[in-house]
Amino acid sequence: MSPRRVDESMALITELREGSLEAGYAAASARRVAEGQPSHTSTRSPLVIAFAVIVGFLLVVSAMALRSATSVVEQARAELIGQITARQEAGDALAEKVSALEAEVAGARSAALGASGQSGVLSQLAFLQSVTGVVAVTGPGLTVTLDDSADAVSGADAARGSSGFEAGRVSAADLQIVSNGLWAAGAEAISINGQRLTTRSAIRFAGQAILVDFRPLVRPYVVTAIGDAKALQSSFGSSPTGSYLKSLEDNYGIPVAISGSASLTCPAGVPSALVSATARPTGIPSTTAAPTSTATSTRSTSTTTSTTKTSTSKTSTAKTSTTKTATSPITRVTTSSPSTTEIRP
Amino acid sequence: MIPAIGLFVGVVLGLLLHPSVPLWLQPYLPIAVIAALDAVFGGVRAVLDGIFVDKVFVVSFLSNVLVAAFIVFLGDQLGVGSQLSTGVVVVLGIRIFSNVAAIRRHLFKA
Repeated sequence: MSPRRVDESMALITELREGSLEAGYAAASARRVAEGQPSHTSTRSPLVIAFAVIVGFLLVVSAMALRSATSVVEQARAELIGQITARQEAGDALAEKVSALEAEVAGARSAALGASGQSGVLSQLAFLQSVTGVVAVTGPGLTVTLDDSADAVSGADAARGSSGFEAGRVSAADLQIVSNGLWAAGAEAISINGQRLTTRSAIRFAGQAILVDFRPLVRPYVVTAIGDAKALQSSFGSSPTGSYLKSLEDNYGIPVAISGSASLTCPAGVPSALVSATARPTGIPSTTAAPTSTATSTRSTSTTTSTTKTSTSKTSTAKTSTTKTATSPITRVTTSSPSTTEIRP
Repeated sequence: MIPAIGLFVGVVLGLLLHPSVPLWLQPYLPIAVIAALDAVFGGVRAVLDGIFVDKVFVVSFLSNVLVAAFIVFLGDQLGVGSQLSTGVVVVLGIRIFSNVAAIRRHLFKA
């Protein structure tokens, strides 16, 4: 029994290291020596040179092919970025065109209304536009500034009650309460961080972000209200909203600053289609007739129960008849299918 | 010297012709390159050992490339292409390193 080799357990690695040279070289060389030829051939044989060319070709081709795979990704990325910037520029140009056309429409409208002597309509339009937030408004007013507390900004903060919001963070509900309080206090126009509240605006939250008209806001939150600055300040401060803000400041450390100003500007809101509706005076037959008709119908059902019974029985029979007609084609199909299977064999 | 010139000619040809490699062939290119390098370094070592035979060089090159490509193809079909490619690279890489070490001992006696 032959003794075990010390490195027997590493046979694979030994084989790889010691057998790294093709065994064929030694064998072929030994055969040539036995046949009386020199032990090696020249390296200048056409076969070797041809293969040298092939190896070089292979190296370059694979290097270029595998490198171009990454450059394809970069090309696509650059193309996408170019498309994005191009679309953004096109969008900006279209927005500019829209505002220019809107100004043109407004000019033409005022010219037409002024020419026809309907200046009353014109002033009413201007009033409605400022109230609904279609046009920018400038005047005296109040700014209410809210910000997240220092604890919330640093990240260490607990939840506020059952609302799920972080205690020191301004929530969308806070902004809703503030803007409602300002409306109640007599504000004529309100904008939050430059987003005008129109008749169709919504203050919402998505995750931690507060959205006004689906545009995210960045803190601090500045609520600008146009109106009689003095009256606004006194009635807003004494309203429930004022005490709510006070409790926010005291309990959660949310800094609140209220300041009046002689000249504030609320920008124009997102333009939406103007819909006008006028309430008519009473005397329209359809609306007055509706309740009396329902009253008579209920009376009839309560007094004549026998007729309603017959009607329900009628409907039940009608239902069964419809189910019958519905089932009959299915049964026909099921009866026809065995017949076809009978025909087949 | 002349095979080195041949290698250079091949590189220049590749740069000039700039052939586009079809997509199905691309997974085999790295393996083919490793197999070719193994054959080349084996050949250089055989030259230095004085036992170089051109037929053995060509046959070893071709068989290396074909077997490596076959293993990768098989791995792709079985869903373990990357693992088998790694195996081929490891085996041929060890051979290349030990051949280069032998060449270094021949040339620098170190």
